[in-house]
Amino acid sequence: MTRFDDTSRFATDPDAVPASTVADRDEQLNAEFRPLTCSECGTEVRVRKRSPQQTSVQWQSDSAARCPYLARQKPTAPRIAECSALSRTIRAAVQAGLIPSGTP
Amino acid sequence: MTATSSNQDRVSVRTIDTGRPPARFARGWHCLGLAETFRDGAPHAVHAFGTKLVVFADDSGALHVLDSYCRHMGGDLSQGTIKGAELACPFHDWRWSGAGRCVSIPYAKRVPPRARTRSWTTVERNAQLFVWHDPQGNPPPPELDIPEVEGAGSPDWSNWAWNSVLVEGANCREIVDNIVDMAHFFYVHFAFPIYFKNVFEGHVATQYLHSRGREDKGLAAPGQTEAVLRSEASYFGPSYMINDLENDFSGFTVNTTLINCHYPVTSDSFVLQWGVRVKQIPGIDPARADKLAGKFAKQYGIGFMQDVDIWRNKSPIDNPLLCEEDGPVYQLRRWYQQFYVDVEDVTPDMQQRFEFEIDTRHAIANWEREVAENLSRLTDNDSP
Repeated sequence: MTRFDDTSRFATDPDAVPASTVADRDEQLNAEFRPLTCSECGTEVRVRKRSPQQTSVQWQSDSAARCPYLARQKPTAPRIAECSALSRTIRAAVQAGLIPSGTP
Repeated sequence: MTATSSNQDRVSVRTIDTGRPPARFARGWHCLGLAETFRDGAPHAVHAFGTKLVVFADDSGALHVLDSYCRHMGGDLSQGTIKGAELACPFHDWRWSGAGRCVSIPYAKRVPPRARTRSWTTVERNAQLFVWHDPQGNPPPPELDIPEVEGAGSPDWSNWAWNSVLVEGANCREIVDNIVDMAHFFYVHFAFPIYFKNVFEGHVATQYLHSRGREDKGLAAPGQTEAVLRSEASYFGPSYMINDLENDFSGFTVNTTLINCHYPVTSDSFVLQWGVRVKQIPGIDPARADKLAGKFAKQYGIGFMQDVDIWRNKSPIDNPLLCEEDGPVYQLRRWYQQFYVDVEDVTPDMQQRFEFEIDTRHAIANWEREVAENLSRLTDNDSP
């Protein structure tokens, strides 16, 4: 099992989750994400924009393994808000029409 | 007409999936309170993780946590007495060490070899006591250590002003959900969010928030549009949040740390705790910082009680219906789930980095209108 199990609510709970909730989760977690590769370090992420200002970034791999900027993060510190190189890549991809910018 | 609209209703009505409360308690470090409060010479009962624990300080001042029920005949150790390095049961005076071993029974020739009870792994950090909970019984991995707050124990900061409340009728997931909930700050806490972003990664979930107060609630200066509060809040594990806050007060900035933490009592009750400390302001009497921390703690207490009122009356919901200005509830719960499965069953996506920035423009425009309308109504009512 490599992904969050959408079909069981808790590991010890045999009850199946209603199909509608599974669909809601799938939509929120997966729908409309576009793959993107950071022009700086080659990290592969998935990006979704609901509006020009709203951005979701789902990292695919252990971020510290690829992104030299996030590699500085310590487990005992708040998460770094963003990698500016990736933000630049996202802006360029939106401008190039590779990622829809959503509704204003 | 009536028939048509009721038909439409039947098709489009959405139902709540209430889910079921989790069958276990989260794996992780849980803060039980300020360490000093347990060093008063008496054992303390703590109802947590569906059972009863006892916290006691031995004669060297070291804190220990044991199951509260004596393995002899079930006496309640939290009603017992500290005798030297051991805790004595009130029922038959069996003496339990902090390591969970019965070291003597004053009326017996020898101690039964199986006289061992559960001793919980503890740590003191930031002047607080933590207990490690893991249904699988593994020791705490070092990378999950609770961070030390900046300048811990230094005279640059006030003491902690600490408070707690027992919340009944709600699972502790309710408070964790708050980390992604921008809009509730406006409606429940009368704050005015301007910037809001979340990042989840590993065992840490962070919220970045810039806000001011609502002028119509008397919480902002007239015409204020800039953020006066910059907040960075992170859960380190399932239950302990460190929130660094920077507050502008007419020309100077006050730095505070808010601890927002909880431990589960049962699957539908938890103890919510919060502590506040204030960074010393150069040129101002240090005693004032302790007073200010107490004042802030009182204000945060009002805020938490506003949340509690919501939780006590709301339904649990596993299928929240979100609009685009809501935060990433589903991703947060995916992150949170890592603490409720066996460590072998933690999937990569529960821990992989996820970033979400809210577009606050619509909210700001509409809230500004609402605040202005409320203000003009207040002015109308005031005029003769």
